[in-house]
Amino acid sequence: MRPRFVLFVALYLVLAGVASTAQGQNVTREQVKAITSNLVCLCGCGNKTVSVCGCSTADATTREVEQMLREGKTADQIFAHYVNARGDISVLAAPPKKGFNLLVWVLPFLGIFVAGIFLVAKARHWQADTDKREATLTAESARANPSDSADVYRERLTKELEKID
Amino acid sequence: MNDFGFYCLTAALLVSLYAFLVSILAGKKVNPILAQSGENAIISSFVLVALASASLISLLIQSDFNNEYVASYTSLDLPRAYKITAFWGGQTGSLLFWTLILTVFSTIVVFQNQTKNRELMAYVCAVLASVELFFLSVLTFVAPPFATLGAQRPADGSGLNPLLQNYWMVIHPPHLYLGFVGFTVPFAFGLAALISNNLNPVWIKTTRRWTLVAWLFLTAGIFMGAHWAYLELGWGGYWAWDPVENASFMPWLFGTAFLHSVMIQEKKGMLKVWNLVLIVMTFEMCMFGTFLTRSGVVSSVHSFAQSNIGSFFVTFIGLSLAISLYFLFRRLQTRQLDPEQRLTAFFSRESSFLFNNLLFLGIAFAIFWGTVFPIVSEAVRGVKVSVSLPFFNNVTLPLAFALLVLTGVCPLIAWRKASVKNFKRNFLYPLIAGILAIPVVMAWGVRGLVPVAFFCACAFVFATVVWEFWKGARARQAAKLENEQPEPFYHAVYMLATTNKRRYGGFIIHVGVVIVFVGIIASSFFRTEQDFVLKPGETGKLKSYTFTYKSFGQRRQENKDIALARVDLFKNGKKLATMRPEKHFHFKGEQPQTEVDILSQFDEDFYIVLVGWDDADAATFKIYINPMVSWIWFGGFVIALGTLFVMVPNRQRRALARTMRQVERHAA
Repeated sequence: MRPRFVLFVALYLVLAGVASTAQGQNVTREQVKAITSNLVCLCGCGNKTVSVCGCSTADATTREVEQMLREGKTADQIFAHYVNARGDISVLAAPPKKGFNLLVWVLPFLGIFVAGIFLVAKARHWQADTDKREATLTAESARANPSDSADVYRERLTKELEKID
Repeated sequence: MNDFGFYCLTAALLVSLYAFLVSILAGKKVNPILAQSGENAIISSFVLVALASASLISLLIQSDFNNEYVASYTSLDLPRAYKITAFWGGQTGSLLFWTLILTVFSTIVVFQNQTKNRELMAYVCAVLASVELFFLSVLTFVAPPFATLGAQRPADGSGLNPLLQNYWMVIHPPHLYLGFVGFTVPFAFGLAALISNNLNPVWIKTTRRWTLVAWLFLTAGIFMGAHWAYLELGWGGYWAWDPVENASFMPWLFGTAFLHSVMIQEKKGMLKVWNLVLIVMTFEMCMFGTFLTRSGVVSSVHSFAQSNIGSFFVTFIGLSLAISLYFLFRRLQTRQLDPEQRLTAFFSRESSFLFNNLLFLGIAFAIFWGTVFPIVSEAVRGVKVSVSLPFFNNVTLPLAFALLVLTGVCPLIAWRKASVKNFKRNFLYPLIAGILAIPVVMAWGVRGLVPVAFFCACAFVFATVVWEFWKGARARQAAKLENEQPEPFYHAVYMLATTNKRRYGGFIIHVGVVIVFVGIIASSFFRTEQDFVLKPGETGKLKSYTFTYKSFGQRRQENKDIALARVDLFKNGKKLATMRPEKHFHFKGEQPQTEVDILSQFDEDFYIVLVGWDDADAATFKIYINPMVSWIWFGGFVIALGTLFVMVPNRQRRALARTMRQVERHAA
């Protein structure tokens, strides 16, 4: 059997041993996932969370989180542990919502809100322009042909348009 | 063969340079002879790039490890099929593949426009040639595919990344590239229209099918990538907001916004400037995606190795954007891009399309911002941060919901000036369907505001599509009744759809989108997962499934060792299948590869992962029950079908096109 194969089995046995000898509080899968889905896997895969990355590093981290939860640690304590170990907050899957990092959370919604306001204002301006132009045309038409009010035609046109999509 | 490929590539670079310069001259002087020369050069560059590509593929098949690329991405024990697909498995090969597709598309554009769009073609060829020139320059000076190792030639290559040795990863990159490169064509026409000052909407009509083809391939590529991730990465999911996944999604969002808003320009002569901006940004996003994948600025499982190629892409993106904006502002001042009609009413389909665009671009910006924020944070404050799944899920979810609702609302609003009375009448039945969905989904066991809201929105959108088909077919039947024999309903639906393919094909695509949303919400919110440690003969139970671990075994294939487990799967006492999850240990790989086994059913997938095993034969399995994942793939298929339906012209259009071609040939 190839050496890597043996190494994999050995690593698996160590991790399984750690998990099986762990004692303490009962920990549910959902509790573990709530933490691991907010930690980035440090295997170098990119920015996959521990809950998503299927590598041995992610498995090891999941076991560690499980152990820490059994020991009674809170989520914040566990996140702080990994931030201290890493030396920066890049181990967290999303930046905390404070300070400069608030920008990442707020800017998309702010951008859409501002663009939406601009769009609404522009659309209403265009509509006002069109209404003014149509009122001017109607007035001119009525002056030119008082008996042939454009209103009659407009009403007919509106009714026809209402019948079709 | 290596030297032959190198010389072909170098010649292609020179020919593209010639095509670029002579096409610009042809455009400035309005000289048809120079324009023809430029077009001939475009065709010649295709031949040369094709020969260079054939050389590289030949070297890959022959395992000529004197070539650095061949040595880096293949090995003697790699199956032949994967030796060929290694052509796009590495950095320089994929760039050459991109260039090949670009030259193919450029050649097709030349042949398609031999007798039309002559006032645009010189600058179209100039733009296409400029993009070719960029890629060929990178291939010649920065990332040469024909670099040799000489005395350092190894006896065997490093092999292809085991993750890429999969059917879906074989076809996923070509589809993505076809999509990315396809958007170059409408971009070229749009920029040519700006440069040549021919700003009538002919460029949009000419490139409509190109835009649809590019969008179709990009959509298919994204779904294939998600399917590959589901099969290969072993975490039970299909989308992890990886930077490279985002890099393909952002141009898709811009392209989809463009596809919608060009309808307004075609119908009402509005949004001319906006559509030009959209197609420029779609192209730039395609280039940005390529930059992200190759520069190493953000690390990703998809990324090619970090290289200095990033600065070239940044320069090209900056330059092409600056040139596009320069010509846009110049034409704005001449007022040639003024709308032919104005927005008549705020409550109209035109303005609803604007809000549709706002949401598409808003989602694209949110994804872009989340993807680049780590770079921004490190550059501004020197602080490293990660922006991953929690951010993208939380930010895109409400925006996606708004977009889904708008998908249903927009078709209910009339063009020009919708009447509230008409809107209410059209809105009533779909709204009832959406509300009735609440007790139905809750009876199925769906809980939680978000999933219930999404399922109701899906029901609402589906009901609007059904209502549109029903209304249209009934109106057609009523019209026919006045003059002829009564028309059967199914025939009325068929004729309705085929005489207005764009509208009703669009509705089919919307149905596909609804199906995809149902699959995503169900699989995201209602997945069940659990680990089991079983000895052979032992049985586990999860939901209505029981599974018995039968045996464990190992075997060797040509380039890997395989460990596999056999697990019999039962549901309600009836045997469904024997599941065979595996772990692959590639000789050239570093990490073992997980090969999951999946039983896909209409309502849910049974997904089993072999996590590990010990000497006592106990094995650990991770099992996921993923509801309605197959709906995602089926929805993608419906979207593709709807797009093909839109693209294929109906009989009348085909006859008209034939007649037009005969007239043009006669006139020429």
